[in-house]
Amino acid sequence: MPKKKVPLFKVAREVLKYTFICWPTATSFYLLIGVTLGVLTGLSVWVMQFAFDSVTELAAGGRTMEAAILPVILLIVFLTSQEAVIALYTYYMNTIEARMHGFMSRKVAEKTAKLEPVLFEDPQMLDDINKASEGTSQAFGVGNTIISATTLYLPYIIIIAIYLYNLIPLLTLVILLTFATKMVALVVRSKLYMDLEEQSAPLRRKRLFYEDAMIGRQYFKETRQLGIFGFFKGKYMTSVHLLNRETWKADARAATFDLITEILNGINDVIILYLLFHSLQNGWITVGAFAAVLASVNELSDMIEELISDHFTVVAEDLGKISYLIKLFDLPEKTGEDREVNWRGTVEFERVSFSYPNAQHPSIDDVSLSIKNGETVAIVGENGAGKSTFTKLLLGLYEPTSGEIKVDGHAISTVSPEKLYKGVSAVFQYYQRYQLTLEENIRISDSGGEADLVPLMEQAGVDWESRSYPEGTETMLSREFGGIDLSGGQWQRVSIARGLYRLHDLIVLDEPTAAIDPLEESRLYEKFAEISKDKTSVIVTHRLGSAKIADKIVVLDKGKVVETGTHQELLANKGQYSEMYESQSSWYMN
Amino acid sequence: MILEKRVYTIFDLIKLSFKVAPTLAVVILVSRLMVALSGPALIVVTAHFINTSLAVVNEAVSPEQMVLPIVVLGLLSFLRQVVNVSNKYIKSKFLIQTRLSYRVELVEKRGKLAYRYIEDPDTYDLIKRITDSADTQIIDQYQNVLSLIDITIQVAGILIILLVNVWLVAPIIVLFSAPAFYFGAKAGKTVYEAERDVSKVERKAVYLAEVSSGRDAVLERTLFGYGDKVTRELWNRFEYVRVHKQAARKKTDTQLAISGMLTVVTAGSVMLVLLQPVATQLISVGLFISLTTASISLSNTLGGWLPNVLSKFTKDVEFLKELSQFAQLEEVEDALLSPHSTDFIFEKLVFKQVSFTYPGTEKKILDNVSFEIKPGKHYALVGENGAGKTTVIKLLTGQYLNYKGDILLNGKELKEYSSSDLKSVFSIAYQDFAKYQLSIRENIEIGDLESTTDDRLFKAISDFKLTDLINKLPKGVETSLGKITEDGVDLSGGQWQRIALARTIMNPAPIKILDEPTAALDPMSESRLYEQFEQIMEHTTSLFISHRLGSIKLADEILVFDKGTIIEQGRHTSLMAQKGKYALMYQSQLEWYKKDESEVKADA
Repeated sequence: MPKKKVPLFKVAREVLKYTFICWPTATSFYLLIGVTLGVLTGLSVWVMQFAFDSVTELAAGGRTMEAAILPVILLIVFLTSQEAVIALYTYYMNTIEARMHGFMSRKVAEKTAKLEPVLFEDPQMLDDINKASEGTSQAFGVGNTIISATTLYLPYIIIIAIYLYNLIPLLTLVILLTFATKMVALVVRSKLYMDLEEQSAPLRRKRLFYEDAMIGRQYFKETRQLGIFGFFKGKYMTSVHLLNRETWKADARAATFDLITEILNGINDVIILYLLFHSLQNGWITVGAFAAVLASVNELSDMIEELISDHFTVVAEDLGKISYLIKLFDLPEKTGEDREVNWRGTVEFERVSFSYPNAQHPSIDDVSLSIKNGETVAIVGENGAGKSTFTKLLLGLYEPTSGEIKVDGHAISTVSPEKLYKGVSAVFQYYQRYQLTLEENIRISDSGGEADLVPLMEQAGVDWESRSYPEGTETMLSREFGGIDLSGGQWQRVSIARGLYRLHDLIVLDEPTAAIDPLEESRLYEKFAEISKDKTSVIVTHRLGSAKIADKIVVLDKGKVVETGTHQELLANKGQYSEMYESQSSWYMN
Repeated sequence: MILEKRVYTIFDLIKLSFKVAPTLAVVILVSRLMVALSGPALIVVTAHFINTSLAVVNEAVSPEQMVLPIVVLGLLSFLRQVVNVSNKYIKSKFLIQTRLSYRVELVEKRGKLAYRYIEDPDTYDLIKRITDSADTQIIDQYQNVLSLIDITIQVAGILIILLVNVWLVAPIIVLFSAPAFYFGAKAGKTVYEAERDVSKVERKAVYLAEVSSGRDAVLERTLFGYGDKVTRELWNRFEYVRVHKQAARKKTDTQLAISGMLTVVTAGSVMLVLLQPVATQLISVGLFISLTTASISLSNTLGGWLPNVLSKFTKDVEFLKELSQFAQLEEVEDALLSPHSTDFIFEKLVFKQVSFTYPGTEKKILDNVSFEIKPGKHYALVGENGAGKTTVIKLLTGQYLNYKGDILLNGKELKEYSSSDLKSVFSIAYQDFAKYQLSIRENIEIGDLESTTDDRLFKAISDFKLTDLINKLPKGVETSLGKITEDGVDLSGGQWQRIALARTIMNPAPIKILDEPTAALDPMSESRLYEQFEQIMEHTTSLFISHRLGSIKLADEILVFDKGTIIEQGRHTSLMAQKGKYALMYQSQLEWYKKDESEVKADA
């Protein structure tokens, strides 16, 4: 994502906007309740004064019992209704927060679905997208701070300030001072913890890894077998000690700063008490006002504390993640003309090159070739030759850095995703293991598809009637969600069924049998040949032997096409293919 | 020891903190009690302050009398703040102690667990829940109990003050604050249960969010265009969770609001009742005012804070149940020790009618399997997925002990060897070998930390053709791998595999096992690697597992597994002659390389 910082103002505006869009009626109501609560809480100080004054007069014998009861009842009614409004306010806050979390997750999902897939290959970008996803649960917190600060806290503070100013003008100043010291403390704290985060992040990564190396699932058996738990524990303890030292340094500093703030506040409290007493003594204020201020000063200070430490601090911490969210929404989407692509036409690569973001060398380097309708093309080459990248370009998932890919004579880079992918399918090398049911796992490739699953599963070798799938096609393929675990080979078959399920004129099969045992593998390749008879298919494979079924073999090396032709032609060429083939087959021939 | 094999009870909410850091726990207890007690004290002092002020105004006493109440009041509120701040220091110290004791004990316990737990998802979830909250759980649960005590003291304080002054109203307060406690406790439980009920749907929603915006699924998501559908599903689930929780909250919030209002009305009624004593000066105006303000703020606490404290309490009790379960999981003796460095001389390994079923399942993975491994020979295990090859390795290394039959190592039952004995017998390259984020040197040397030398290290490096790679790296063998350090380098799959194999031969254990460490390689590279390995391991006992029959036919003995039994066994040539399953598998792979007529011509 662009390095540029999103202005705070914009973050605030956007978050507020989404809070409203997510649930207009509830949010409006929430605002209304907020203002009511703020005003009610502010006004309670007057009511309190009124009640206390009448009680004092009653004690002094200046009032009858009946005259004193009414103000007290008024105070009770006031406080009771305040209680009800608080309950309403909290209820709405929690509810809107929950909806907002889902809403922002949906927004992020909608947006990321429209991004160029190649963006996910850029580690920096990926990091940013992850941070944005984490921001979905915090978006409301930031919006809510702005909302509650303006609807709840602002009216309250203004009312109290007016009250205090009318009573003893100096008090307003003292309270302003409280506010100021707390704000300064907030700024200092967040700076302190930001520095800590920066310094301790590498340490924390280390500690996490060493812990993982001792007990994480992917390291467990090897660490135990090698007997190197102690080796990692030594490293782990060192990083824990270092981390503890850093944390303690920051915590101790923050706490010291808090202590100073509290001492200042303590002095402030004494000044307020003295001011109150002094005003009372001089008859500037009544006993009721005196008591009401005493009560409300504490409440005010609590409210300010709440606003700052519960709201502002959290915002300071989360604002970063939220700004990634806003940045994500601003990213350009993959768009294009609404034009049908005829995948039955010839696919032509015209001097196509492609480099991954930040890569120094192109992964596909000046490739020109054409694939005709109905052809079976095998892509071969060593690890890292660019085979998978080639197929991603072919499918239109990545756009060439230079050159053009044409299908049926038209460039595909200008077509909208909805139209572009209609008519193509794929079984990817890193196929997905969706934690869904077997049926969902297959049907996910084509939301409008209605094809019968049974023949498909048979072709792909998914033994859905066996004991591996206790509930047939309804079996949940995830232990976490109350289902079962499949083996690697079974998963691969499911992914093949998935690829075949999608209506297609062209299909890419990227090492579709890597996890399948030899007997099955041969059977599957025969099936592929049968299924793809009148369709274009592009098969990436390591096993040169299996490339024989192809009408055309493309040999890639370091991103370049070094040879193309049929199996026989390539063998006769005595080039790279024949060399690889001889070497592989020699393992079986001797 | 904080983690012991026992049942943790409700007392452990407090006791565990005293085990982690006794002094700090005492300091926390004392300071929290001080704050709690300062609440009732504040009521009395405030009353005194107001009364004295009034007396000064009425010129009943001299203004100097005010100094004491002002100072005491100032000190009291100051004390509360200072204790709050010092609690932050203490919490930081406490967390440091936790990371050095409890957390380390958790890690060690996990490290010692019997292997079956690691592969069991339910236990794994339990373990994860325990360790995720490791740092903060102990102090948080302690503080929560103290909060409960705090609230109780506040209520009791007001009651006692009332009791002393106008004893009649005290029972009324008890009567009317009871609903707050009752509904508070109930709300805590309801909220906890609602959260638990929807947690599965919530996890699914989070999973779908990952599918629709994570990196793993990006290609399928784009090509298959299921983004919209999944997004809709995830929104439905989020909404389901919200609506479900909202329903629970609506109920509890209403109850709490009513009980809160009831508390306020009670406090108000007390005020009304007190009017008479105030009028007759049975109680002072100061006490009236300070009691009133204290009750108002207390009723807020009862409504807002109490349910949170109680729901946390419910969760903490659940946590202790899980901690008890975790603490009682079975451990493996010696699991954490390094290999016994005594030079083990390998003579013979015999599988005698071994059968095995994974715990919690019924299917026999191994069924009456017998074979023999002799020193200096190469063995290969072949067969379809799930035929039992990898299970053999798991039994050999002592990961599972509940097998039937005998496994005899040098004539002695395998179960009688300790875990650290077995570590010095087998050196294994796994299919999912570990990619340790250490330096290249460390990655290889951890195969033999006891007696590693630079000579052996560089021999292993050159044996697996890693020299060129290392020469290209700026820091050579000291280069860190992975991403935990700034200058870390990431290797390709093939390069990692070579490092893992170098580690395997660095390991002095006499039996080398290769469990498909080359699955991600193209067949050419795999064949080359196996060839190299056999050269390097010429006089060492080795056990290979592979799907690609071309790579293992040089083995001295090939064991063909099918549905948990060995169906064929012998050299490549004799197995081919048998025309059984092996020959069939080999043929099918060979098919791909068989030259048909035209090719033969082309060759000529």
